[in-house]
Amino acid sequence: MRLDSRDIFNTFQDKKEMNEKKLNEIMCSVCHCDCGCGSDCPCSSCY
Amino acid sequence: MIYILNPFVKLIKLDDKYTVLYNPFSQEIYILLTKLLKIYKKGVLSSSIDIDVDLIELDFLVDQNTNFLDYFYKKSKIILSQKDYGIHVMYLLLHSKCNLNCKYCFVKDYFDNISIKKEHIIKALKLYKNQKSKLKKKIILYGGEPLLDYNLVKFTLEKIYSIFKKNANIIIVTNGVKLDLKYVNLFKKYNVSVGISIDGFSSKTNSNRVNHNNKNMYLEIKKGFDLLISKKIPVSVSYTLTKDNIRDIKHFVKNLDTKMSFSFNLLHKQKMVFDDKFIDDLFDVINILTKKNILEDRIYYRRFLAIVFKRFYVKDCAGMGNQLVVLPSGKIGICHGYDWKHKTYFEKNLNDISLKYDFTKDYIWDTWNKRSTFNILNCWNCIGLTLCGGGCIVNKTKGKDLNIYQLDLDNCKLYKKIIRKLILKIAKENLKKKI
Repeated sequence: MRLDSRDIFNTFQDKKEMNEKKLNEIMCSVCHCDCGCGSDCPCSSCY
Repeated sequence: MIYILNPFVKLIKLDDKYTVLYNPFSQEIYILLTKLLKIYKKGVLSSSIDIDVDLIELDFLVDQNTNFLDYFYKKSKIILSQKDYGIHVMYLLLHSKCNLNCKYCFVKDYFDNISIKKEHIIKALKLYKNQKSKLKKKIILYGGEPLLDYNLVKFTLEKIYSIFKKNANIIIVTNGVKLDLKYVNLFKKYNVSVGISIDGFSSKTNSNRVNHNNKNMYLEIKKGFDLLISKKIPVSVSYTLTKDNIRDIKHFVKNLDTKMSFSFNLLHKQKMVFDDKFIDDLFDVINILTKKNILEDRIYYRRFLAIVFKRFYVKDCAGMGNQLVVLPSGKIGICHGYDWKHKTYFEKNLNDISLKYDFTKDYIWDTWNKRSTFNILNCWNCIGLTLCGGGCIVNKTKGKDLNIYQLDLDNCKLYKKIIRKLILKIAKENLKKKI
């Protein structure tokens, strides 16, 4: 049984709209990063 | 044609009936009847009725004649080409001194008690502007404590705006003690986000946060944190895991209720034991934060969403060839965790560098850019190959040993457990819904 991205996305929260742009906007609220690369977010990788 | 199970696919027993298959090269997850797995391991003909075409399409099953070294090389080359971001982060260290003396601080050993010159700020910004980047650039004001001198912060923000306009994200990483309304207004004017380190909501959990008189500074830090929240400044909370707060992380996040990002940090200096209880706590933390629409950075954003959006996470830090670190002395290096005094990885200097210098062609940046999990042999057969990022190796490569291709073992142990649990959780939750 293959799991598609939409199924996987709802693992932590049911019936949530999977919208990559919206998710990146959440990150934008922190460091205004709209790159969506998912890596190196400087606001919390400063250890 | 005979198909066999792709040797890079990871198998995790889900229950007595099912096994989870995870392919790090496609980041796909497949739940398979374990009895079929036994057949696939022996090899199956392409005409066999036992084969689900998805298994072939997603490379869970591959031609038995595949050259797997070649397979690895081609797949990793494609992924790495997508990750070639250029220089998109600059840490600008305003002071090499701090009003606090946190016991776990990883940069204080190199402090030489100076502040950056204004002409160096301007040159650093212009130099950074000339660097090629595929991503919007980020400028992180750092220290020591960056907020020791209001006028210097104001000057820096004005110069960033005049040179970059709105084409750079600005972040200040502070301990929060110096925060006041003047700073808040400045942050609003220049759209600054703030990274603040707070290790729980008590003096005990913040036992490492002391000033130079060894006074616990939790109350002062909390005051700054509360001010940022009340004035709606975008905040990212950094929770450094210590023996005094590792059991408190769940309690802490339950008390966060504003839009922000949350991240936990691993210590360089203190050996920590990450037992199963802690891993369970971390997943509870994600559940709690997700319901509050607070973004957990380490597991949810970097690993979980990597699986959702197939982002292939093979580096965990911009230090891997994608950032400049400018010290108050004017030296430029790859990571502020290295020894500034002995120049380790700080060979360039603002005093004599051309504004047109291309760091992507510098041998240090080029070498570090190549450090991904694909270039570390021990990672090849790991479940975290495209999810872990390879950790941080500052502490492993000090002194004479400068081999950057070694493992960050503490990171390995933790993320292997996390990634395995994450994939199992995804599979379990979805199996429940589908059956």
